[in-house]
Amino acid sequence: MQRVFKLGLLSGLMLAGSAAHANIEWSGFANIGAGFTTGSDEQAFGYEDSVDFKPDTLFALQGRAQLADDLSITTQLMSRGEDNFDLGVEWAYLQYQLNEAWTINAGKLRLPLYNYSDSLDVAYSYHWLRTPQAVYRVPFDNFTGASVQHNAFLGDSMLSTQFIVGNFNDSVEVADSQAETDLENLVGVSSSLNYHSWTVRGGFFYSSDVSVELQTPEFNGLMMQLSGADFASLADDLRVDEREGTFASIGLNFDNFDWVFASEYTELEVQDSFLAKQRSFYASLGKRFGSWMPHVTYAGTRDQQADFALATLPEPLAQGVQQLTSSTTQRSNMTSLGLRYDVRAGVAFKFDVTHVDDKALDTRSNVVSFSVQTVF
Amino acid sequence: MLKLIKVTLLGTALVWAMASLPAMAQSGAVISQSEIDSARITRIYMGQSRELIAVNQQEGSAVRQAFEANVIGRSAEQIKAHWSRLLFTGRAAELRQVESDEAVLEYVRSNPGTIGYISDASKADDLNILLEF
Repeated sequence: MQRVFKLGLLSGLMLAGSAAHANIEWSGFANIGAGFTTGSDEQAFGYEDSVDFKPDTLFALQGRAQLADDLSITTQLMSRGEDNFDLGVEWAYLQYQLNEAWTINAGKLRLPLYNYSDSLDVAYSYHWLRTPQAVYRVPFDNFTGASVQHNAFLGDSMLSTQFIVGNFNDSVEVADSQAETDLENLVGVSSSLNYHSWTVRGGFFYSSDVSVELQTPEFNGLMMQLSGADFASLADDLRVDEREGTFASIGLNFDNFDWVFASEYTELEVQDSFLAKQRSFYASLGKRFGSWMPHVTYAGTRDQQADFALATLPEPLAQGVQQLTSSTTQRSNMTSLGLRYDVRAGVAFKFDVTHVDDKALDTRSNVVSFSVQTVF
Repeated sequence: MLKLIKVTLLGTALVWAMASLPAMAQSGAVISQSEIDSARITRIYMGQSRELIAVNQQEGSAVRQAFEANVIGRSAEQIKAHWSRLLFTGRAAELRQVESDEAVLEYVRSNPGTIGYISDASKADDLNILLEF
């Protein structure tokens, strides 16, 4: 169904393109990044100790066809290094401009979990080489459904609110392996208030049925052992099967085109499952000196491990459950020093060094990365 | 004596002012058929409001640089970064871009509800000058 929908939108775009090609606008962006970790046994953000280009490299082309004054179709085609440059439809949506204040979008859309969700891939638009990975770690970015956007001006301030409704279904990375993930009845609201240089933002999202089908041999083995040892109800409790899920975020930003400050705090919780309650934060400060902008970011994760009564469990099983719940529990601090240099309008060069102190795994690593980021 | 000095000074100032008038750079102007508060010009050109449809001049042109620096108050790179965020999120469509003051004047004259800017305020004629820069 989703595929049919995508194809429909794509062919609609092409049709619109051929019928009135004057009304179709193409634009694009690209990030070409390279990085490595400084130690031989270090891994972070997809990098190891040999230079790799894939984690922070992507190419995207966006087409927008204006069908009428108030109606347009947008598709964004993207090729990501981390997906071996397979070309995919990142977004495809129909936009209807009800009036000056209200806009309705329907199709495959970006889920506005974070302050930088919308422009996550357009790294040129922000100061970092990549958004702080401690916070930006929900393993999917998009959903299928509809969103309603409202803009209101109150004196000197602008209030921008987005309501979303839809669902998500795809294979995503959970506990270091691919898991078929399903979010049904996904609803949410995100709102930001901008006053001069200041922006405060909050978001809340809810899904009545979150399911994550982890299919690793370890997980399946543990489930079978628990059921076989008369702990079937514990096995059911561990499974992420139609559980309620919530995501909340708050953020404060300041940008007076001299100093830039950005911060966010997020919480993700899937009720009654092996998944940890995720808590993450970052704070970032930068200063512009002409075309140069050095910045520093401190970020962290403070997850709460899922808690199950293990006293009555035989030792190996208790250990298995303990291992499972701790595998999704992140406790880390990340410190980044970065530099943005605006080569010219539309092209930026960025450099970043991040120190990751992983307290859960008791490892430390340094990631050095460079990137050329552009919009065209 | 004092009076003479005053008159001389005044006269010199006047002559200097008159002599330098033609040499003064012509001022740019933001123009429209409509009347709006000048504070809203920035919102319209930053893609936050569509109360008037804006027309832009060529990227890198002197008039656009002056407009962006003096009216918006931001550098071309900062504005580009801001617009890239809007464009790729569907929050705004790219502004129409034309090549000269004359093209801006023609567009704004023939389309009510539009706004533009030109390098020479004296060409505005019948249009409203919302702001000079």
